[in-house]
Amino acid sequence: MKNKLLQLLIMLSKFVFYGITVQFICIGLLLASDGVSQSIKPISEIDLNLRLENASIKTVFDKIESKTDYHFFYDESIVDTKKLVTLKKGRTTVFDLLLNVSQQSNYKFKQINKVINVNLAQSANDNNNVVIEIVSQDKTVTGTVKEEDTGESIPGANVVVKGTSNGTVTDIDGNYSLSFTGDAAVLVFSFVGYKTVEIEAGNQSVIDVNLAPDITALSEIVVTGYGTQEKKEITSAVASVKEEDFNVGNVQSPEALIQGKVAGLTITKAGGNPNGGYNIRLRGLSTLGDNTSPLIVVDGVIGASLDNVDPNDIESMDVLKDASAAAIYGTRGASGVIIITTKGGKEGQMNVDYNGYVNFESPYRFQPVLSASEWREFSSEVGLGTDFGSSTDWFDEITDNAVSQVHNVAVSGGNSSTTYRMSFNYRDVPGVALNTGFNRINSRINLSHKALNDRLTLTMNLGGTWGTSKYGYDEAFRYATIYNPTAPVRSTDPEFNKYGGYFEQVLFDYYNPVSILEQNTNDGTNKRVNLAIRGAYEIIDNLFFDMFYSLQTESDVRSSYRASTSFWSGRDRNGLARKSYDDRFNQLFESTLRWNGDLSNGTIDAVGGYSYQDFTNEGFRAEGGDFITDEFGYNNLSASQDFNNGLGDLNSYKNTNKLIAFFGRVNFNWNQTWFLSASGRYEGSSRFGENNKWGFFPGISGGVELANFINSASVNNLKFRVSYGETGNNLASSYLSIQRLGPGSNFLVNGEWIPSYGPVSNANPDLRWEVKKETNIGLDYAFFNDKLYGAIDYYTRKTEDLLQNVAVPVPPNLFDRTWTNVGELKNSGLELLINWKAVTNSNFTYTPSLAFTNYLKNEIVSLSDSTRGIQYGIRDIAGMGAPGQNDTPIIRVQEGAPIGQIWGLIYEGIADNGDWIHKDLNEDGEITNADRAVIGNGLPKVEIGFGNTFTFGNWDANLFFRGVFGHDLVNSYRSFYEVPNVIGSYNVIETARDLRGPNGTLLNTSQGKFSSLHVEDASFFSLSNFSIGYSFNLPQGAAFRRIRIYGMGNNLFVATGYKGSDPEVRYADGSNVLAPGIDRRNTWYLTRSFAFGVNLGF
Amino acid sequence: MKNIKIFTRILIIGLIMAVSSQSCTNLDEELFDEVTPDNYFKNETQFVSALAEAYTGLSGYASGSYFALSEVSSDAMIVPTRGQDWDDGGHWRRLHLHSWNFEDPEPGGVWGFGFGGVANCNRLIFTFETLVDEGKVDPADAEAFINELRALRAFFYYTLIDIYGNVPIVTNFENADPNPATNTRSEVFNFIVDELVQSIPTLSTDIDQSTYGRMNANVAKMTLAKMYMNAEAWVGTAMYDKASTVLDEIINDGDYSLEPNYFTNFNVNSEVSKEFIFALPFDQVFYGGFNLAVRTLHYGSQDTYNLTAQPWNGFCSLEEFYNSFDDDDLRKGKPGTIDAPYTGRGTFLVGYQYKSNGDPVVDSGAETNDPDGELLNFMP
Repeated sequence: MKNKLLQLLIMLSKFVFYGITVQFICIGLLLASDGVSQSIKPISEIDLNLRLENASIKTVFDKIESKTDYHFFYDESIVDTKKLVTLKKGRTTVFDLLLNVSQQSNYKFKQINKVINVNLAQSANDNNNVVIEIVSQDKTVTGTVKEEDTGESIPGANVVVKGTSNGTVTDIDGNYSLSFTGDAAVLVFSFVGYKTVEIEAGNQSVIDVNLAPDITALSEIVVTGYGTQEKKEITSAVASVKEEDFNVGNVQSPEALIQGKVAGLTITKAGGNPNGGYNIRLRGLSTLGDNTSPLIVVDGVIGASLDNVDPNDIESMDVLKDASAAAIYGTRGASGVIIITTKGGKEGQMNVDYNGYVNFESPYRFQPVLSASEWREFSSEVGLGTDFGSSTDWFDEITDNAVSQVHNVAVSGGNSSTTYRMSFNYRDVPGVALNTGFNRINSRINLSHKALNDRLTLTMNLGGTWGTSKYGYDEAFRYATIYNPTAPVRSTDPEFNKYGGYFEQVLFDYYNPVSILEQNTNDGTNKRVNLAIRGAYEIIDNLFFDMFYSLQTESDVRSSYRASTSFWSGRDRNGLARKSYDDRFNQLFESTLRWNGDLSNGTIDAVGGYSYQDFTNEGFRAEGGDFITDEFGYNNLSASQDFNNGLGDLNSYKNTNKLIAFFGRVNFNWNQTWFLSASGRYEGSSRFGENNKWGFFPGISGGVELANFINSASVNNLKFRVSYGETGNNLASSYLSIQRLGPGSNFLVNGEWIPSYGPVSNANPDLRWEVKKETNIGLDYAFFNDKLYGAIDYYTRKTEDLLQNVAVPVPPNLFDRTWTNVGELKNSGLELLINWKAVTNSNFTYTPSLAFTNYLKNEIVSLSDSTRGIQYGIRDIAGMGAPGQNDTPIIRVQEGAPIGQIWGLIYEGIADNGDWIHKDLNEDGEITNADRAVIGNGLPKVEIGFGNTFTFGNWDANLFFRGVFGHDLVNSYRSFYEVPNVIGSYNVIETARDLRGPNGTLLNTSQGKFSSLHVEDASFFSLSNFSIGYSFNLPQGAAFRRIRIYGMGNNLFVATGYKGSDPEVRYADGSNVLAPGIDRRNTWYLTRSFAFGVNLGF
Repeated sequence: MKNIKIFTRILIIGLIMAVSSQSCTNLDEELFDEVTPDNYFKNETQFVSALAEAYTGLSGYASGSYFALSEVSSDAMIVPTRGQDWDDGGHWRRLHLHSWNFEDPEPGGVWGFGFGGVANCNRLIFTFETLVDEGKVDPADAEAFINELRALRAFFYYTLIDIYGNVPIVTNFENADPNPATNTRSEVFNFIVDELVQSIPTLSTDIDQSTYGRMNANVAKMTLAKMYMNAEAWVGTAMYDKASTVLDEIINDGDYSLEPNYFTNFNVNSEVSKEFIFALPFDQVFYGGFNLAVRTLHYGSQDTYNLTAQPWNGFCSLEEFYNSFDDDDLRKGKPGTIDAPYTGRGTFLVGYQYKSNGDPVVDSGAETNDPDGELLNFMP
């Protein structure tokens, strides 16, 4: 039965598709011939042989159009083309035919040149009086209507002489021809979704028009959770970024598309590691748990993987910033929500689009160290260090220019009932470091089908990604920075045979970086499959029932081999192979009921539903060393002798969890002036304690359009809005609330080893939701005919019952850390968005835009609960590390203080005898830990994104600047190696030569000692990306619909005072979000790239 | 119309599926790779493996904070700053100079080691008592485990009284006070002695595989003797007579004796030694963590002993301590010279160092004013 229905749907859609295509072609032929034939005959002079019985008016029009040069023009909402007529006269004039039609229907006709306008007859009398009018006109204008941004022609656009019913529609290539009387006529060009343009005809005979998308005037559609809303109705803080505003250039993942574009949303990645992930943070840190990044929703799939969406396939990204907007996603919305909508097909002919580019990436900024000649000079001054006689630029040795290719082909189209889009994406992106990069194939199919009188809409999205990665080893960057520049990369001395011929020296934490990257492998294959199916049925008018099912699988294989000759790692195990398989699966089922209602003075929209999602994670990992040959790397673990003698390592795991929710939302729009929205989600997670599984997360917001009270033509919109909402945060792991036993280390019982079985964590049955409460006050504005528009938002948020792994006393606890709810965080900020259409001439436009964020305040209010014996107080965390700086914390976490305080000694100089001088804060005559103070903060104060879009004729250009200000970075390299005596073992940072006392004596210690000297203001302003493109004018009937060539680039310049490689904010130290602001030694260098590409439309 | 009916049917089926088979609001957790106390404790091996958890934490006795706090603070051992390495915020220096503070890693680390052991013993005593109440275990078997755990808990308390003096005495697991009050050192002393004295008669007296690495009567007596030996310092009353009595009980049975070759105690397979009363059976495969070798040896020593891991060039002894041994004391060993490697095994490693292939070990980080130049020479 299901199959039959499907067959029917396909057949139906096929016919509709053919119909539309044929019609388009007819119109095209008609209009195309216009220019040739100058003689226009009145309809009373054209004979036609036509016999029809009970045919629709449409059929009559079609027949006449197909046999003559005439074209009918009418408004479908007025003229019922299904009305049936019977024509029996046979051969007669068109005039007579239409007269006959007119008598059987209620329509009148008016011939203006070749166009026959159809309209309702005013009265019954009308029928007999002026049924058919023939007007001969003396002027014909032709031209093409195109889409402003893409230059693509717009078929079906209306062209009408203002104040008359004389008009036409553009053909399949966007061409039109219209005749009328008099030069004073004004032509009105319009198309749904685009701004209407009026042009005075004057004495022009060709008028080409570019229509701009009508998105600025707050009529833009914004995707909110479980629905869409017009921007003008939205009363919470929501930002929408459409394709045309995305970042360009070396964009390899979705988050890079909107970096810097949304006020309050920071997207960072330090260094140019192509496999490195982005750190996304919305409005600062509002949780200490696992979910510091926003929830990702792709086409309705909650918690979707960003890896499975190719940037080329994205139509829009909507960011739900405040808690009232995110509350509909309840438990996972605490760090905001990013909703991604992928491109679908559009009704019309099949379009094939190709976009491809070649990208050239090279290292841009290094941590400056001594060159070989500088090293020799300084080594002899210090009197330390071994000169090995070579001159090696280690940065150059481990990097290469990376040339990547990106190709995207998309096929899309459809008819009035079925639309489709299929895309294929290929990315080959090597990294600048040797033997690194990734290779990825991604494909996506989006289908949408309407049936049952358009009451049923079925959609399917299928996306898949197959990728392989070479991760390399980040440590190579650390050793390239500190390796002796007089050392050779390789040596033929037999001494080095055991290292595979690479030069090595036996020192602490010091390995030949080229050897690391060339001798060892670190590979991965990643697969992602995502399937989503939705059925939406309009039960009665404006009442929709939706059912949605999605599944998502992610599978990762990681394999690495460290060669038996790799001194860094591998030699110690006589070869070491690792292989792991991780599989993550989740399925989501949702059913919702939506209702759009009209009130006498406004509208009301409501949605309610049920959501069920379960997650399963499982994996397997094996590690073994001691191989007789390095030849097969990680591919044959059974050859590892470790498995014979018990040193091999195996483990596997499986865990699951569930989320179940009931949710709803109501939106009111009263007179387009007053707006109100209320939502709530009652959600349960299997991870919480028995009695605390469920939580309720409400959101409410309201707004008023003040422009309706200010009668000023220059104020188009001025919407004031206020919102409040609560969102929750889930636990990062399952089973933390229950008492579990698992195997631990072994124990000798009667001469035999058995594993011990004990508790794996402190069970906490009281675990419950972490709750974030947020208030947002905002203003959306548009002035001067929508030329200046944007938004201002102020927010203040408070997170309570923080989920944390806190220190607890032992006993009564078994472990000294327990996951529990304790503490409170607060933060607030100001966001400003300004768009300005500065120049809008027909052949030159300039549109600057600015996204400005000011992080006003963040505070750790509390991390303690004295009633449960949890005392946080002050803790110093994030050690600098070896060599010599273990137990040297860098960050102070303190209740009542902001997050990210950098904590250390205050540097004052170098004494005459070469000793450090640090400030003796407590004046006890000694420099101890008690002399440490706050010497910086790792979090930024201000972030700006400054976009500039230009078009001039066929050229288009885009410059996007990004600036982040007010954050400090701990330069770890300097803390360890900006010490002259270190030259005895390692290369030194070039500024080590400047560490001298007043009399020129060099710093005399060989110990790096962290202090304020190594904390730098890392504010920066960069030309993050730019592009310049040229679209060719294509002749009608060319093989291509569109050809655009372009060049683009990233990080053309970065202006900063930071002495390290990349001044980007470090939001976390590894996964420790309480320790931002540390530039660790393994970070990749900052890179710069240039790309050249082409867009083709067929 | 027909299609609408079909759709309605699909809709209804879907809804039924949603509500029934998705079990709508059930949020119970399902465990896959671990067990709960409810589905464990089904056979003897499972009981013993639960008991084992009380012992496995003892590895910290030989290589963690307890070792460092006890030894680096003595005149036998030091962790000097070496070139760029080992300054580590000055905490090793403070350890040796006895100026450590509460933020340093060792004082807190020992607390975790000692009380972690105490908490595990308390939990297991509670667990076995509960299992007896539930009739899931033979009361006699449980009794033996509980006595063993009480003595082991006393041993953990011995490390705590040694390092801290006054600490809270905590013996219950369920409803334990999260902020227990401290007890005086003499209260703690009496508690430990009482626990040991009470449990000794109940503990196994076997000295064989069944008690190797476990708390038998002699280990408890040894711990008791250590208490008595320290009594004068800890509670102000000399108890050396009592110590002597307990030690005689251990020795007079004749089960222990000094090894003819002192170094037998330091061999890899040291379990043959007759000297050990209580051994932590470290093993490369099953029970790792004893890393004194990598803590002490130089980076270049990797090639001397063909070690898999590069040593850390850290812990070492002091000149005065080395010189306090007589020249003919075997433990001093025979130093390596500029011409040849060392010849006699000792507990100290002194002199020029050579690779296993006979070449001298070179220190590429040597400073230019090093009297031996690049050659590695351990000087007393």
